Amino acid sequence: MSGISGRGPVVALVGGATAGRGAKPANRFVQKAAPLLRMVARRVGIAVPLLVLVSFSVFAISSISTADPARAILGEGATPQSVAQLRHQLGLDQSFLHRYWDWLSGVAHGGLGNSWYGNIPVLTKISQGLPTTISLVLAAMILTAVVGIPLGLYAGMRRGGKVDTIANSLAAIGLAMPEFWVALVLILLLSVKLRVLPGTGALTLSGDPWQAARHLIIPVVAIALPQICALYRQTRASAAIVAQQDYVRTARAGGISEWSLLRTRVAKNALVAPVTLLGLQLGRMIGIAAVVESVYGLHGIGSIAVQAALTSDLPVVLGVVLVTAAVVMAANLLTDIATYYLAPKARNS
Amino acid sequence: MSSELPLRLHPGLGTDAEVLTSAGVGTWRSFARQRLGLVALIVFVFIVAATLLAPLLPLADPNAQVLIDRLQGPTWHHWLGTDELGRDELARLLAATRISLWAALQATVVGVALGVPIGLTTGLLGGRLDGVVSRLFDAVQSMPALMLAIASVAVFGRQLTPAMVAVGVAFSPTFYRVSRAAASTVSRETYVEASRSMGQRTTRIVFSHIIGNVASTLIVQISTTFAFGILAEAALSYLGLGVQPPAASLGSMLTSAAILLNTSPQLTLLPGLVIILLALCVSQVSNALEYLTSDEVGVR
Repeated sequence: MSGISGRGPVVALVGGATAGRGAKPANRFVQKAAPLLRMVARRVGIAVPLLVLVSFSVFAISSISTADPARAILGEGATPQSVAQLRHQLGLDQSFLHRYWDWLSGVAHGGLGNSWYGNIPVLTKISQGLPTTISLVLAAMILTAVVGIPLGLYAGMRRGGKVDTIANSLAAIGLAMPEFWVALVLILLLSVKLRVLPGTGALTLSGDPWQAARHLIIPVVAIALPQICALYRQTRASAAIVAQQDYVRTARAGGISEWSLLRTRVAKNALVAPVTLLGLQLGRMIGIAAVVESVYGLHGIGSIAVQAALTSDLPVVLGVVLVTAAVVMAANLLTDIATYYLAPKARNS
Repeated sequence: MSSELPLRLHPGLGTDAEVLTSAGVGTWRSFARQRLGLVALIVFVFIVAATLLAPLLPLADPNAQVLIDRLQGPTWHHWLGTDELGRDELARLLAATRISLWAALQATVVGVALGVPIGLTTGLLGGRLDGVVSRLFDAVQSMPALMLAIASVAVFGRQLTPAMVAVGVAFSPTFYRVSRAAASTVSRETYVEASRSMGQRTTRIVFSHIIGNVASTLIVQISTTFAFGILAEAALSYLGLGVQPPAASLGSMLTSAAILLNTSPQLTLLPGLVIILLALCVSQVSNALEYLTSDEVGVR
């Protein structure tokens, strides 16, 4: 199935490009991009059944769970009649296959079902949280890449010495820190004691952008800190391996400046592993953002999922899980495209 | 001290002792890291022992509330002071650490039990099954561990064990991938072919050859997962998704402490520092193991 969907667009493009004689550059572009497009199409083709599988598993597992969402929603003092009535209302008295089919046909019509509280569409809830989570995670990723990669490259090119040892120890400690605790300590230091940054509260992106940015500093730093340390260590290790290669030694012996050495011979090879890690970190950051959002009182999709989990609001949690999984799959694809450009050797695999 | 180093051959460089004397600074640093790993192991074992022996120690009951003694600083009776309900902070920290370690262990065991056997099997057999199972683990990997744990709470209610099982499931793809790669590489090696042609059964081959080959990578992965398990437990219990009061875990202690952040910051700092210490110990032990089992010299 994925093979067929993979060939479709490529064949069409090749056909279009070879139609005229003057289309030579375009043809070359297509030749270069064809395997990449095939990869993209194949991955998208795999992603859809995988997401269906994920949603099916959630439904299947929820059907074997002994916890009754209707009882959780109504509370301890609910009468059996009202519980039964709510179960009927939510469709919980039907078989899980039946419920899953209902949900899946809802997805086919562009929805993710409704919340069990107030019947709000799950997509509406998620779209309310997305801007906050996107700005949070995107800023954390940029911070991670901008700090982690250059520091790691620098350290990997010149290992040894006091600075390197201290940086490594700091990175090890940073990796051991729970993000939400970092957020708490930063709130204590920067907003409670020193009063230089705003305290907890929801983010308003429509207002003053400077205020919004100031509001995001603590959660972004808290999310990024351990990831910076992880990325630093990964970049340092791969730069160190590359810096030991014979061709780098030869270039160094020839008197090349460290900067041109890094730019022309080390960076591209040394970046494959860090870029892969950065792709994986996106998923971790979305998970961690759920915790930090809750600490900081931000209304992102993570804190929406946490609230929904605390109230057994399964449709909302399932929606957030699926949106997250889709985003992570997309990030993995982007990572593979980046690797494709950085490491020609890996193109065939 | 150098005699305590395992005598290992480094390609082209001689044994550890020779490298130590010839290579100077670089090797001294890797040696120092080994020692750091040893210190980390001792500290970790000490903490585990302390949490297990806590009921025998002359400490207050971790859940006993003495409201008149609440929010005290360190005293002779309460070495680390008391919390907002007058409970002994040290006793609570020890009880909490035990729950956190147990939770991390649950996640790690689930990850290993799910990933390793399946990975070894598909790695050995290959073929279509391998492709399908690998895609399934890809699907699992697309869900962040914490997100999966949050989903498990939505399904099973606020309990720590299902949440930590979910964290373990989220980590199983790493174990799967490592074991599968090792099994698939080893199954193509000549000596496995040889033992197969001599009529040894496949399970036997797995145990005698592959486990030995993959063990070192697995140990490092296990400690990484365990360290993450500690952090994940803290995050989940902090959000109220894990351990329920009055039981204490390092995360749930932070929940009540966060409200008092302004007046009693020590209640927030202490559990956090214990979490960092535990995660740091595990990662340092892991680093030392990685060094001991890696063949490359110098690139660290």
